[in-house]
Amino acid sequence: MNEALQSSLNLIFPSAAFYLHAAPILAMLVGGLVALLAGVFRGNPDRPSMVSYQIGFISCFPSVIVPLILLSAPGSFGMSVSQPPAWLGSGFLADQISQFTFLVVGLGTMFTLFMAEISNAGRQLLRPELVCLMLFASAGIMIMASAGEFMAFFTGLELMSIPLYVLVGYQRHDTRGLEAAVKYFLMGATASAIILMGMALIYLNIGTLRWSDFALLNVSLSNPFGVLGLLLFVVGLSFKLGIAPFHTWGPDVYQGAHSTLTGYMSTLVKVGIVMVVLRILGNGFAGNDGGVWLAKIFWVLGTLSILVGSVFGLVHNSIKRMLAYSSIANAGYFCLAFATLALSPASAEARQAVLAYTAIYTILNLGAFAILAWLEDGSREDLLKEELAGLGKRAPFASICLTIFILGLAGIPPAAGFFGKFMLISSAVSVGLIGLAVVMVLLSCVALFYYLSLLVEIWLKPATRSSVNPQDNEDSRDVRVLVGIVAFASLVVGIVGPRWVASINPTFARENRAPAQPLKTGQTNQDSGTTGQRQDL
Amino acid sequence: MDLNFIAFVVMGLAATILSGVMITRRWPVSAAMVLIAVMTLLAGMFGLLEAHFAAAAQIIVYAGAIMVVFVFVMMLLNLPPEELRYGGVTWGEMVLISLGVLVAIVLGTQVGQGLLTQGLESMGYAPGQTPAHAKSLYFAADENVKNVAATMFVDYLWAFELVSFLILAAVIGSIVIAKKRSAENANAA
Repeated sequence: MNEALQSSLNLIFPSAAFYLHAAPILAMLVGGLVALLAGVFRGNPDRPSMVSYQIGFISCFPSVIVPLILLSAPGSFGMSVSQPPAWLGSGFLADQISQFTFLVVGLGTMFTLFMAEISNAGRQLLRPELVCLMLFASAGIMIMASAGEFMAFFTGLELMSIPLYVLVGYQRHDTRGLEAAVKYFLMGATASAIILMGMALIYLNIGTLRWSDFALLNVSLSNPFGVLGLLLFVVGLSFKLGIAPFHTWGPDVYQGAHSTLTGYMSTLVKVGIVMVVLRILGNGFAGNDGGVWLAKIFWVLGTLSILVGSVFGLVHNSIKRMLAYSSIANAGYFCLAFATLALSPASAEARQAVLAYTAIYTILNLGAFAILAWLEDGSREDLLKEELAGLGKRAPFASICLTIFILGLAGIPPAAGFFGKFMLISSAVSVGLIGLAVVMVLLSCVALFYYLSLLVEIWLKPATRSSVNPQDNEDSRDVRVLVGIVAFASLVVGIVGPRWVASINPTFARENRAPAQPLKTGQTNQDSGTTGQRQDL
Repeated sequence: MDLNFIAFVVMGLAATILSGVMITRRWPVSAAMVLIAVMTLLAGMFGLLEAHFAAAAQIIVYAGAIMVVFVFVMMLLNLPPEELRYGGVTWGEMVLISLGVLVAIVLGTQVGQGLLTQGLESMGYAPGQTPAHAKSLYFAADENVKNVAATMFVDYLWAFELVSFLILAAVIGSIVIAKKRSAENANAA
């Protein structure tokens, strides 16, 4: 082959190690295509396809196996431990934060597919094209979390959002499902547009799209458009995370979608966005008060979120709405973590606390919605609080698991949620965010009221005629095993999780090329042919 | 005052006037036709600014592909002429108009443009200068198309490849949503 051509190909295409590190994403994308094609050739396309389901399930394997190998043996395959590599113009960062996200998303997707398979209503989700869309959405989350620059992030964001709009709208035939889909679509599109506008202003300010160059951005009122861009960016991401006051779509959409899907939407989507915020804030900003400024914004957003989540959850009767407000309250805790990161960008402890909290929150919420999906499976579509009365006697095992999840979401010690919140608050206090930490803890006590009211219904009230009566068949045994495993996992993660997360190296990957630097005065920036060759790994 | 400048001003004025003409047409199809003229004028302005790739893309993508889709949709829906509303302007419209005027003033003056590019200038770059870190690895001066290609296929190759999956997801999604209704109709019949 022509030598010049060879050298330019080396410059463009990543090395073989890239394909190992990105195997989770590539497997999901290819698996989605195969699942779609399998539906074309096998059976009735209008019915759930077991072949597609199995293909979807198998294509989640790499996203569990590869991260486990890379996380347990850091530095394997000749990768640098202290400075993990990045490929494709920072489009893909091969650090441990990416691998951790792949693991969470892979397990979460497997769990969602499995839960869909063993409930009657959820099985409608297993038509080939819908399995394909779900795999694409998971791939989008992974792309987003591992992106080191805006283009790859935005593609991942849309690759996640567009399938979800369709999945929400597809699930139910009544108008509420349709309303949820339209609301989700309009809000999501608005948020994307706001993010895009914010990034355009930031690009105008620093001339680059890479997260690592955000350190050049001067966050102070002397640079109004830079600050405006960053604010728009934060607002757009807050829409996607469901942080108050940008949360209004949340409860309606969660209520309108099928519970299996709601679990997916309320957890994995947030995992991806939280990782993006972690990567942006973790680089710090130019100027002394940039971080302080942002921390104040997150202070306000966090207080509002937990206030809305705790107080509005009290007045609702539908369990899904209550869980939606609980997820808004939990988004307040993410704000606490972001404020901590804004104040001390390089702190490994703060980054690890974010990782631990996202993983724990994902497990708890997925589990809680899985039980809801199981209880709803039948004629009911939207359970009310009163309908849980006497569940403790009728289905003790499900009740125990649901209790573990609810206690975890409330943050009561034996369950996992406590340790996640403990790590967040301790890292926040260590950077001096004592006021926000106190607000969080006090309002969590308010939220405790509606969590406990659920437990009272389950365990203390006698069964009434309207009580839900879970069916007992072969499927429900599978559900019990699976939910039992998740409940057990949430207890185990609560105990050993923090220690395991502390062994994760939260250094961001960086590309092996000179980072952007301000031009010194007197130096000219002439347009001169090809700038230095990149040394790709 | 050279010929380029005069041509630019003429095209700009024509595009502005034709935009006004477009939003006051009663027939959607005539509005679409005027929009094609506006797009072509914009392409000419891009060409005068030496953004040749953007000019070509403007003609091919907007005046070509997107307008064809617009006209097709109008034909399918068989739209009647719009009822134009004359008379009072509401408060909300006043606020929106004044916001638009504000943005135009900010972006149209040197003060506003200075504020916009202030970040780069504080780093030592003159207006219009490409910062070193924003350049593609294959950056070549005065080679527009080559630079676009280098940015797309070297710097943002990952995003470029992933967009194909994004489009596929959108196609599948639209078919799923559209198909659901026909399946239900078939069941009902």
